[in-house]
Amino acid sequence: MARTIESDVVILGAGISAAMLAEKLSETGTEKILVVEAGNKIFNLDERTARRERFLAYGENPWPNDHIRGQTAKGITSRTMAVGGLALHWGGTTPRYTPEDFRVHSLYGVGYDWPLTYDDLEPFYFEAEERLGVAGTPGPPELDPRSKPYPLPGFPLTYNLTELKKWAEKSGIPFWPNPVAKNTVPYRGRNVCMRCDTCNICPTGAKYTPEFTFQKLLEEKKIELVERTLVRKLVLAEGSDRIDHAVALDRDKPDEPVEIRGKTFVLASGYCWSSHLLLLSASDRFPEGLANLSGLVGKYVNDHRPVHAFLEVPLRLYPGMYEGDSLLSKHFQRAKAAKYVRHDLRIWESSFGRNPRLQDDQGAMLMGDAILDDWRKRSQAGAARMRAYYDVIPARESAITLDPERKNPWGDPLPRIDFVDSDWSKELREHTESEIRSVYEKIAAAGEGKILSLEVDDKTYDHPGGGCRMGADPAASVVDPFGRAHDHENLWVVGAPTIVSAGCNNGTLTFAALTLRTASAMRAS
Amino acid sequence: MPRKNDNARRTFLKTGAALASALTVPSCAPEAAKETTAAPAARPETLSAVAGIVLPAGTLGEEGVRRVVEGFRKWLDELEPVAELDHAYIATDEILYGPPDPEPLWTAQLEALELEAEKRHEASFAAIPREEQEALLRRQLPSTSGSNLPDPARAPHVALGLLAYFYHSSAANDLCYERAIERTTCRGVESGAVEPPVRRS
Repeated sequence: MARTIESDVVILGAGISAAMLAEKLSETGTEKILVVEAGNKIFNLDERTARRERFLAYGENPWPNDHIRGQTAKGITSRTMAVGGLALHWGGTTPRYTPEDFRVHSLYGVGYDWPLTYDDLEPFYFEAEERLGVAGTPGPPELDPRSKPYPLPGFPLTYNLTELKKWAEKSGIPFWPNPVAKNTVPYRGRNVCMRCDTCNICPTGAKYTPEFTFQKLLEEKKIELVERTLVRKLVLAEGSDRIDHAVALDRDKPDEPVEIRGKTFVLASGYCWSSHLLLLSASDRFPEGLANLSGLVGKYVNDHRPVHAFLEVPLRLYPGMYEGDSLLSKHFQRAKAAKYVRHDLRIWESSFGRNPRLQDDQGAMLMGDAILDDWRKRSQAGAARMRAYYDVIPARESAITLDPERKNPWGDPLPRIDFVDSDWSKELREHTESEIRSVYEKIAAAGEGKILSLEVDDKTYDHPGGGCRMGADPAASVVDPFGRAHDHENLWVVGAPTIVSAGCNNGTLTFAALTLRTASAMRAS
Repeated sequence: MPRKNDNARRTFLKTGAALASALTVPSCAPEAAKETTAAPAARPETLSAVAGIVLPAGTLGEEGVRRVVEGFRKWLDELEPVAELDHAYIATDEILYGPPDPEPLWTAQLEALELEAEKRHEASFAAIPREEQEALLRRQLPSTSGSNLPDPARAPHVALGLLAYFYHSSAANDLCYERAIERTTCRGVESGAVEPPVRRS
């Protein structure tokens, strides 16, 4: 006999999208909201100073047990599965996509248009910035369009970034501070940033992490949160395409099945696990998985590809002032080139090539004061780290599938992720990377610096999305432009899985904005 | 989180060294040393002598070196063997764990320095001339595969562990740049907008 949990709205997953949705729905309605999370609940603000010290001294995980043993995907780049999700570790970076990201096919003849425009999403971008507490200094309006100022004042630039901004802008490319979800003033009951420079474990709570939202909603009794409960399958109502219940597993009592019943179900489990659950939920009527009459669940997984560079700059810089802070330019996201190329551009302070070393240039081992002397000599000129994300046009074959060879400890097939460049991206790749190299060379030359290292990272997927892409056409998408599954009236998908393409910069704010737009649509419906 | 001291384990080269001293003869009695079967044990002085060679003693001064050694001992005492390591926001699906406790290996290496000092010079490592100490240490250091400093806890030799511990510190960064950058200090939102002040020694 299964233990039954009942609610009105059942949100599966407890990351940043789930937090946005739960908060907004709880403000505007009276229905019961249940959040179900497979991982642990880690509410640790009072422990963070000690966790930070251990992280600094030993590199220990400041969020211990933020994962589930045996629950992973081949090809995934993070294991975090806990209340708060991947954002527990994030750096708080919150740029918006640009208007072009939503219309690449119309504007450039490559890739896919979204079923919504930047203007459609703009109010929700601002709402997300308000809820997360984004601090920013706007860039030039033609490059960084927005209808209202950032909710929080921007961070003053560090000395290093002030110098790097002047240096980099000699190239004629404008840079401005990267917006971040970190408090520059007390905000929503959280502290001001102390620039501890360990944003993966913010000891003051100034950086937004979703568990703050859940903690508040729980204290106010606006939601119910069930942790350590892995949803294994969604089941349809008899003779209907509505979701009736979720079959789950209490990790503390794996032999006692749990049935979660609700009127509305929302997948908020990220791009991988949302798609995975739909595929696991195959039934007689939906043999390829729920919400999958289009055959596109798990397909069109997308991301951007980073091109990293380290540059020597003729400046006296002091690495260690606030290494997580950076400058941003959207100059190349908005530019119209003869051949399609779009990418963002970021700059950080760096100590690349300027770390203490054990051997001199001849390979002789250094000891004592010789190490320090050598270090001092090599640190006279500064260094900068730069990175460009360029958009990889998604391919249908870029997919999350059920891995026939691997199962989790409870016998369910695990997902595997295969990223593939579309034909467009294959054709554009050499040109794109050559253009980015030229940008780095231009910046270096204008500032009398030099490129120390340049690398295209082919293995790291920084902000993946897709798998349940949105669209107006049920044959070409999994969910409608508001996140509702075409095939199931009471099933919604929010955040990363729904994106059509990954743009050229960090996607978290876009995931949050899309989720808030879904919340409005849910309320309206 | 279980740490070494939680299990009332000894403090690196403190009580252990005292125990070892009781089992061996003083370094100034080489003939007697030959008669005992116990290995000459590392003393706290051995590590301090190593520190005097590998650390920038000319810049740090005697007191500065002593403080680094003290910090290193404390760091080692509080190290949790095979701890769950941080996995970055995005990087890998692997859950990574730290190395085993390096202390037994490092203690043996300090003892080896003592042994060779006894055999070559009939004196303790700390008592032989500095040039001889450095030569002896260089002979015993494993060949390194590159010029990068290792992760301190994974250092293949105690001298490299000490070096890495020091050079990964905020204090070493300040020493290099001669500025009070204070890399690991929480400093306030307005801070950092001006050039960091000159470091006070």
